[in-house]
Amino acid sequence: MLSSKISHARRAQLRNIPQEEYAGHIWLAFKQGEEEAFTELMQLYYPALLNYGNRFQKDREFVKDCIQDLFLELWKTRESLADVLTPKSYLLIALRRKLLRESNKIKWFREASEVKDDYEFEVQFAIETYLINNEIQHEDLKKLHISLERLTKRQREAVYLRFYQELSYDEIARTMVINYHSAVNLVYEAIKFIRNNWMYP
Amino acid sequence: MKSYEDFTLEDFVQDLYFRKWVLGELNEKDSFWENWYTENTDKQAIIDQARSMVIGLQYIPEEVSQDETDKAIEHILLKLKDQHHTPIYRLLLWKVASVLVIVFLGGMGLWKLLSTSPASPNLAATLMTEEIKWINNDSHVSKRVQLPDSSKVDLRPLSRLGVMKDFGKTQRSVLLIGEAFFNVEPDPRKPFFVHSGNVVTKVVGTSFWVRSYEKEDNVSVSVVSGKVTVQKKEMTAEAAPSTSEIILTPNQQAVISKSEDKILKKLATAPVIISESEKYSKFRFTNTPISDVFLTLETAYGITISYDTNLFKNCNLTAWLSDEDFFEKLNLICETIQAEYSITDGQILIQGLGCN
Repeated sequence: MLSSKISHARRAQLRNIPQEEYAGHIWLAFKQGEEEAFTELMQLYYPALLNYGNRFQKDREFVKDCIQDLFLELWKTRESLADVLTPKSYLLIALRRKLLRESNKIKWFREASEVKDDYEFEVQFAIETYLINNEIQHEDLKKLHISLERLTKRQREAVYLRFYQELSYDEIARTMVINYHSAVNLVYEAIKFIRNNWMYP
Repeated sequence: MKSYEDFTLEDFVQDLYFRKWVLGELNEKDSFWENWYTENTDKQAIIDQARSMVIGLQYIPEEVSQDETDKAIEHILLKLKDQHHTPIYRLLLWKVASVLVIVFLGGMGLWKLLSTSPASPNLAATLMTEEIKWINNDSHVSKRVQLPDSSKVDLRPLSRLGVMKDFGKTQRSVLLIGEAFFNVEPDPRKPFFVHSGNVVTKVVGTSFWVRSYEKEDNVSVSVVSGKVTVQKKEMTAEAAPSTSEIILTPNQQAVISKSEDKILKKLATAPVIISESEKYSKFRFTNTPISDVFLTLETAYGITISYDTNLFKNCNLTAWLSDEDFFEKLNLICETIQAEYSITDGQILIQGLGCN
């Protein structure tokens, strides 16, 4: 009883530290069974998870159900979870796995573990609205828009994780179940592809 | 580490500092990239492309609103409760917290209110005149303002305080957009008024917080010392003072919705000790009857605690409390005597089965 009170107070002190480090502490408190920490964890990451999940599955309610199951499972198994320092990528990985598995159940695929490239990854780039609102470099951006459309879904996902969720390459690699160099390559190749199509069409 | 001179287009697009500049997220005073651009004429073409690419690679942010998040989390916590019993006070605490969050993130601004509501000509007209001196705080820290009557105002970042030109002569009125802490010099002949949104806070001499951001639907007032009355301003001009007036005492808080006609009385989010007496700021109990414990807490924080004295007459507490905040102390006491607490109308209600 006392320990949870103390760590609660400690958490309050920790509010001045960088968010990532703070999240690490929240994770530990959550593992010890603190419901407030659990709530805070959800507050911190629910929007990011829903946004990411929606890239794979347009059905928002389906994604929300998956996130709910994910958190309930995490709470149930909290004591046996690893001490992760960056809960964000941990949660993204877990959600990705769950979504692909659940989506496949719907499609009546039996071997869920076989999932490799059999998923969708939809991202809408802001460039369309930008094109309408902005006259500057109009022609250039139009070309850029066309080449963005032609990125592969794995490139899209890597670019999304890098620039939107701001994950490190290490985290991207773990999230997409690829190695570090592949993660770096996906992003660099995406940029290179866009450049080549754009500058020398 | 590569230097920027050696950077390729890909490197620029990846570079966090560069991205922040392109997306306008850098401090205004930071002119590194402008300078670098001017100095490195041979790199300008590549910089232009990198800029377009960073902009082009932005996503349309699909908003996940605080409301949607809160509802989903509440749902998850309810599911959790089905799976195992949760002490009621924890859920209550969480609910209180989430209500406050939603409240603060609400939607309508004062400016919008003023510019679109023809029914509030007075304040709007006053705002437009030259009769008000505006003090802005655009910095990242609170700004201390001393008014002509020696009252002190700590103006929070991104807040504005409007002071009438003839402040102190016939009246003491200020306008607030944002959040501020007021420490008002007593002057019974001239009450001190804070106008914020459609809420007027009237003070004789006291210290208190007012929070009224343009983007938030709610105005909140919380009292640290003394006594304050809060009333909602009638939108019809020249109307008699509204009947919806409430009195706040220390550690109480009023939350007033701009769009709906209601005032909620709550406990301050983090109550502070208000008693001057040494006796009540030490929370050391050794086999102390619970009635004495509650009395100590009531006196120290000025918060009313209701409970069935008969039911709890056999309960004792042995605990040395000190640094915990009010709610942590309350949690600890309740856990010891197997009780639960709830907060209603700015008061604490303790319920349980008592002790044998």
